[in-house]
This record gives sequence, C-alpha cells and structure tokens, in this order.
Amino acid sequence: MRVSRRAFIFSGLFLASGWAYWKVRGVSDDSDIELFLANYESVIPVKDVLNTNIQISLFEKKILSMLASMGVAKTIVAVNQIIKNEYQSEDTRLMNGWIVSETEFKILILKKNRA
Amino acid sequence: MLKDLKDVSSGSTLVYDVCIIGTGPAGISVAKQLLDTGRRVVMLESGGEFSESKYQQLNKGENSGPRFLSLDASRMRCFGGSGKLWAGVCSPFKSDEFDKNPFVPLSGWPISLADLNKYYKQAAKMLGVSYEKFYSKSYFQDTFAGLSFKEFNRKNSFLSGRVYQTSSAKNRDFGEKYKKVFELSKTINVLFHSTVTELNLNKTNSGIQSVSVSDLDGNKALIEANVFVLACGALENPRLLLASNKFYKTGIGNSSGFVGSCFMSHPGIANVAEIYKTSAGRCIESGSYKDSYVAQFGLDRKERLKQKVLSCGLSISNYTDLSNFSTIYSGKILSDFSKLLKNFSFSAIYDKRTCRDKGKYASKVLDLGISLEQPPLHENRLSLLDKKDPLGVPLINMHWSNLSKIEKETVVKSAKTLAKELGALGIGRVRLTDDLLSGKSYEFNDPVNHHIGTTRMSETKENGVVDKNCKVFGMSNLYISGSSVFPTSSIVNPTYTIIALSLRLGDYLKQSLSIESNLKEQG
Repeated sequence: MRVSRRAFIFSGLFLASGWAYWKVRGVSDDSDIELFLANYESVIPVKDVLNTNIQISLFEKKILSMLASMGVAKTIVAVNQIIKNEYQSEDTRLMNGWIVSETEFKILILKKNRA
Repeated sequence: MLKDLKDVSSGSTLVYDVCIIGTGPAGISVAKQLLDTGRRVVMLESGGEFSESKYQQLNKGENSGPRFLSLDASRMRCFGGSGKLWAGVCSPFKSDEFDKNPFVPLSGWPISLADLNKYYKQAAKMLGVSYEKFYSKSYFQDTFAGLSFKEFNRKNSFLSGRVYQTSSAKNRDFGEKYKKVFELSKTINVLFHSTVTELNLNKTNSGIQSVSVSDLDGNKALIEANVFVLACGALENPRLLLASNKFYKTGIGNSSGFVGSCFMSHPGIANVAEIYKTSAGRCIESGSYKDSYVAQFGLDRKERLKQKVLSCGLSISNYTDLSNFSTIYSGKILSDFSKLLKNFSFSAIYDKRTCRDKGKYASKVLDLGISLEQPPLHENRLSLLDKKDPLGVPLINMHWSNLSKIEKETVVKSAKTLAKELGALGIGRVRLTDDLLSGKSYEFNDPVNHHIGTTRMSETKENGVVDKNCKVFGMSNLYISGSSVFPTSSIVNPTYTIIALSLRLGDYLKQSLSIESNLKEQG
C-alpha cells in the first residue's frame, strides 16, 4: 500500500503529539479517578475510615497510571484482584474494627479525602 | 436383668466380675462389649429407669469461679444417663487433635486416631450415622455444591471443614435402645437406685475391693468385683475419686494432683464480628440440612500452628433473616421458633432451599460466633466442699476461670482469618464488633454443657490420672471411661468420642479378662 508523503507526515505528527501529551500528563486525569472511586464498590463505609497521616500520593499515581492504560472498568477488575491477592498473602490491617487489605485501605482514604 | 436396690437385702454384698458405675453412653458402651463374654457384670445406676427429681438433687454443687457452670442442669441420673439430653451431634476428632501442640502445655494424647478408628466405626453403627461420610471429600463437596462452603475447601484456604451428622432420637438414647438387650441378658445386671458413695480399697491399697451403694430410702449394699469402671461423667468421676479418701488423703488416683483438674468445655462466643457480603446471592451461613448433617469451618491445622491458636468452629448466622424463616415456611410454630432463635445466640437453621433463595431473602450482614477448644489448665478445677449431699457424699465446688489469653487470641485471630478467606475469595468483609474489641463479648454464661478433662489420660502418672488403656495409675483394677479422660477437647461434641473410647475400653477388658482366665486355667 502506498502512503502519500502528506499523510505520512500528518500521521507521524499525530502519533508524536499523542505520545508527548501522554508523556507530559503522565497519567489519566482527575476526573478519571473520580469515576474510578464512584464505580469502585465497597461494603466498608467511608465514615469508618480513621484520620491518618499516611501518604497516598504514590498510590494515587499508580491508580492514575492504571486508569490511563486500562480505563476504569479494567482498572477496577485489576484492583480487585490485587486486593484478593493481598488478603491471600495476609497483607491486611485493622481499621476501626474492619479487616482491610492495604490497597483497599488506600482506596478508602482516597474516597474519604475526596468526599 | 434389671433390678432395684430395694429388692436386694439391705447390707448384703453382691459379687461380680465387672462393676460399671454409670449407665450413660460410656457405661452402656463398655457393657455392650462384655455382653457375650459370660462375665457377670453389674451396671450401677444412681437413679431409676426414668428421671426422678429427688435423685437429680444429688447433682447439686457450687461454683466459686468467675464463670458459672450449671452443675445440675445438664446431667441425668437415670438409665441412659446424659445421653437422654444429648442432641445427637456426632463428629470425630481430627488426627492432629491427638497430637501434642507445642504451644499448649499438657496437650497430646497417648493414643492416636488410628487407635480409635475401629471404634469410631462401631460407634457410628450404634448411632445410625455413616462413618464414611465424615471423611468423604466428594460427599463434602456434593453436599455443599453451590454454596461458598465449597470454595472454603480450595487449595490455599485458611480454613478447613468438618462434617457433623446427627444421630436420631431413637438411636442416640442408649437407655431406650439397649434396655431390652440388658433386660434379657443373663450375665449383665442393671441395678437401679444404687448411688455409689465410696470406692473401698483392697488390703494392699493397690486396687478397689468394693463400692458402697445407697438409695435415698436407706437401702445399702456392697458391690465386690474384679474390675471396676467409673463411667459417670466428668463431674462425678473425679467427685468419687476425691471423696474416697480414707487411705489416700487427696483421693484415689490423685498422686499427680490432676483429679478434678483441667476441666474443659466448649465456650461459645457470640457477636464476635459482623460479616458483610459483597455478593448477596452467596450463601456462607452455617447451617444444618435436611438429612441431618452440618458443615462447620475452623482454621486449617497449618494456620493454627502458624498463628499459635486453638481449634475453633466458626458459626455464621443470619439473625436479621430470621423473620423470613416464617415467610419461607409459613406457620405459627415456625414463626415462634424464629422469634425464639432471635432471642438466643444460636446459629440460625437453614436448609438448602433457604440458601438457594438467598438473593431474595438474605441479609447482607451476618453475625459471626465462635465455639472454642479450651486448653487444659490447672486453674479450671473441681474440688469438694465440706457440705454433703443426702447420701453423705461431699458436694462439688467448680472453679471455672475467665477465658485465658490463648482463648481470646484464638477468637480474634480466627475472625481475622475468616476475613482473609472471604477477602481472598472476594465474597465478604469482616468487621470485629465493638463488644469484641472492648472485651465484652467474653463475658458470657456458657450454654454448652460439655464436661471434659477432669481425670485426664496421659503417658505418665506425673501428668494424668489414667493410662492409655484408661486404667487409673497406681490402681490394679480401676478404669475410667468418658470425656473425663480426654487430655484435650477439640471442638466437637464429645459423646461420639466417649462412645468410641468406651467401646475400646470394653474390648480391652474383654481381652484382658480372657487372658486372666486362661492363665488361671493353666495355673
């Protein structure tokens, strides 16, 4: 298949700008994480999340990165699997009576911070 | 033959080959093994053929411990004994429950499951339950197909299950079931209203010569035998040993100080945690099923050793659903029954149909209760008071302590482990209740009347009262059968194991009496 010179240049520019945009933003945007938190179902109420000084910026970046590459639905599936694995590997903590996995705990903090 | 003490001349001495004190599941099981041996056996029953309140009064005693044990409510002085009160729930000990547990002092049986298997089979037959079904994995899987119990059986599970089967009323009441057999027997005599008041030592103080028996009308007799078997429960067995203190001041068989010591039961802790189902259609509730079996889960052995906890049974109940019980099964009786259940901390009863209907009826919030194995501790002990009953036998004083550290740790760690299991399966989350976290859950009156461990079996006389053949250390002809010989308690209802152990003892006596008579013939 022959590609015209103009089409080749435009498509190159389009891909380069997309790459640059992704590179600059690094991850998905804030509205994606809001969407993720809204769709992430938990039986644990946010009001039971205790105030904590734990830093979750790295975790937030990780979620944004997952959202950027997988979208909301797949991220939820992946996060749920991570949480299951954490329960299996006993990576859990006690929070106001609740036994929660580390990732679940961080999601709950994110929810609380953004509530 | 069935007789009454009042029909025997008062003050007479009756002579037998074997004297079995007690006609509950333990006594009857020992006697049954001796049926066709030609040996003259007497079974002494404190009460009559049926329960009589004046004989029930002999069970009275006092409590001095922080926890209360009802001493007179859970025992029957009549033919068939406490087997008449038993709900018939059967499950064998698991093989590792006979092992020494490195973090439970005094744990470990001098016998193994292999020593009992033959008798568990016989006991299952007597009780009309299936021995094979206790161990059939496919049965377990099929039974709970579609339920999350099946998932708890996964390879990396933190939990492991047990199957319980319920013996029917006609099979579990040995008094009723075997009355005719003993009535027709020419060699086995049942003597009613024959409460043993003392064990009398022989001339060398190395064995039992006779036992003194009385009724409440003043009739008395002396029963002599070559072999004596104490089979009157984990409260009466030590009571009689301690009360027979004319020569041995601390009682017969008590050189180690273990007679009356290491009492255990199965405390049930309610309101441990709330379980929130993430998927409403899944059934994770404990339940009993139409063909009388129950699955109960506890921590897998590997987990118990890792977390250094005792055995436990997790009961997942659905209190909030109980109103629906009568919706599903209409009728006033069931409605009242559901109200009754709601007022007590018992597991809700469901059948398969209820579980299938979960999506429609189930609450998403469940309640976790835990039944516990107790460790053998000296501080939980029975002693005698100066006060005496109408027959002159000192009353029991029970000292039962609050839950020990390891018991409390077992409750919390087990709830956390269930949380991990449900989390790993993605089917639920667990919240420990405020009552548990504040310690309030541990303040309870134990409704379980399992009496275990007051004349414990051990390898050596320093650590127990009876040897692996249930013979009292230092006594040539005194044996004990029943849950009082259990060194540890597991969490299963004890009667099935009591029967198996008693059948084993009966078999042992049959063999040793036969050897003895062969030697006599040769001599």
